[in-house]
Amino acid sequence: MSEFKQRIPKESVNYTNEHPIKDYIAMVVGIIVIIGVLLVSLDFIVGLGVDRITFEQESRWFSKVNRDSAQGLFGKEDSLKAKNSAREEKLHELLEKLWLPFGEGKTVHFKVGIMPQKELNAFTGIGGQFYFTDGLMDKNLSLNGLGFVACHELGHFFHRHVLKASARGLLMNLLLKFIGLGGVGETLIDTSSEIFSLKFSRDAERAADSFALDCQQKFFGHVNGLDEFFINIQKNEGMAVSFLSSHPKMQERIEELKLQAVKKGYSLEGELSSISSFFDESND
Amino acid sequence: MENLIGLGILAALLVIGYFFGRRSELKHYKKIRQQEEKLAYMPVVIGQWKNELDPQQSYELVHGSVVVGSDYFKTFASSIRQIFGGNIASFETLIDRGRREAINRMKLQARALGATKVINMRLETSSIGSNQKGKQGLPSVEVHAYATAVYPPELIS
Repeated sequence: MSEFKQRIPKESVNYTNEHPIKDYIAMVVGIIVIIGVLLVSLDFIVGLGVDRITFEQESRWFSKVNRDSAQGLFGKEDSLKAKNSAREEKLHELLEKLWLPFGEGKTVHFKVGIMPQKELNAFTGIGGQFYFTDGLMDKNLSLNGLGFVACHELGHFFHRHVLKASARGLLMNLLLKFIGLGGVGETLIDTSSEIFSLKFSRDAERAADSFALDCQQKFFGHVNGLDEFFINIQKNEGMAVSFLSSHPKMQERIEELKLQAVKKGYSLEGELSSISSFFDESND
Repeated sequence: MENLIGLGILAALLVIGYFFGRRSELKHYKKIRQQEEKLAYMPVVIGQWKNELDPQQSYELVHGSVVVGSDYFKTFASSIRQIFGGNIASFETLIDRGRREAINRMKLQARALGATKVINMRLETSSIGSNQKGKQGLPSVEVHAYATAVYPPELIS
């Protein structure tokens, strides 16, 4: 054995000496771009498929979705059910009347439910299901104000937002499961996919608002009362950051709707109809 | 709001992981270099010299092991790297530190025995607490260095 010479090993032979942040930022941006492209492509593909399904087919296919089991949010008390049952019938009638100019003469079986919740809210389920909260029904909005909300929900049905979002979400989840990344990297993919989905949701809200404007004009002959609902919920809006919200800001929505109304030549002034006049008809 | 909180927690964990991880890595490398300088006089080789072992010398097993944990940033960066492929640079320093620290510890044990050299060194690496069997966690690596220490017989008490 030759004589041993003391030497210290050379540094950075076994590891890259580049700053990790640079590489990391490039990869994160890459992931976000890929997720964005993936979601836009999925949305396009889903759109092609969903647009081939007629309103009738959608409502028929999902007619067996049980309202109570699907939501689990409805009151179980008989008195509440009886109270809401009459209002549900009138709401159903209102929705059918509002839908008439858009249904191309074909029957769609809507399902309408009133949920015992204090918050002012309404949402659309798959297959032409519409849910309104007790809080919204008790708020004493004008028929025009409630009509706008109903028109907005019909707008979601018209544009097949729920069906598209469900299909897109399902496909995206399958894809993510297929990638099977696991661990903390999945958090980034989930978060960026959720942020992109929120963008789709905001776009859907705008499209439903735009539909609601046309729907309100066709039914009432003017669009007065379009902001009643927004004004009532605006104070509970909170401090949500725009790109992380599922809905556009209320004030922006009101301004955008009024601008659209002016462009389309819809009158922002007109007589507001009383909600009781419509809902009390059945009790007479 | 939920998304904002989620994003905030993720960003905070990444920043904490990056700064604390980087700080602890630099500190660890400093300690490793100091030890390497102190122990540089002792040759460590992987040769066995089965036929050339001097019967006048004494031989004994020495080993050193270390467990080095990853930080949140490294784990995050590595899991993204898995999508694109290529060098997982964030784990390279982790393994490098593990190997060098394990060798240093083994040499410290050899020095305590009064060894003049260490022969037939081997390195074993295994992962601890990584994403195995569906369990998620920040991965750690265990590096075990073992060898035969050679020391003069007069040191045997």
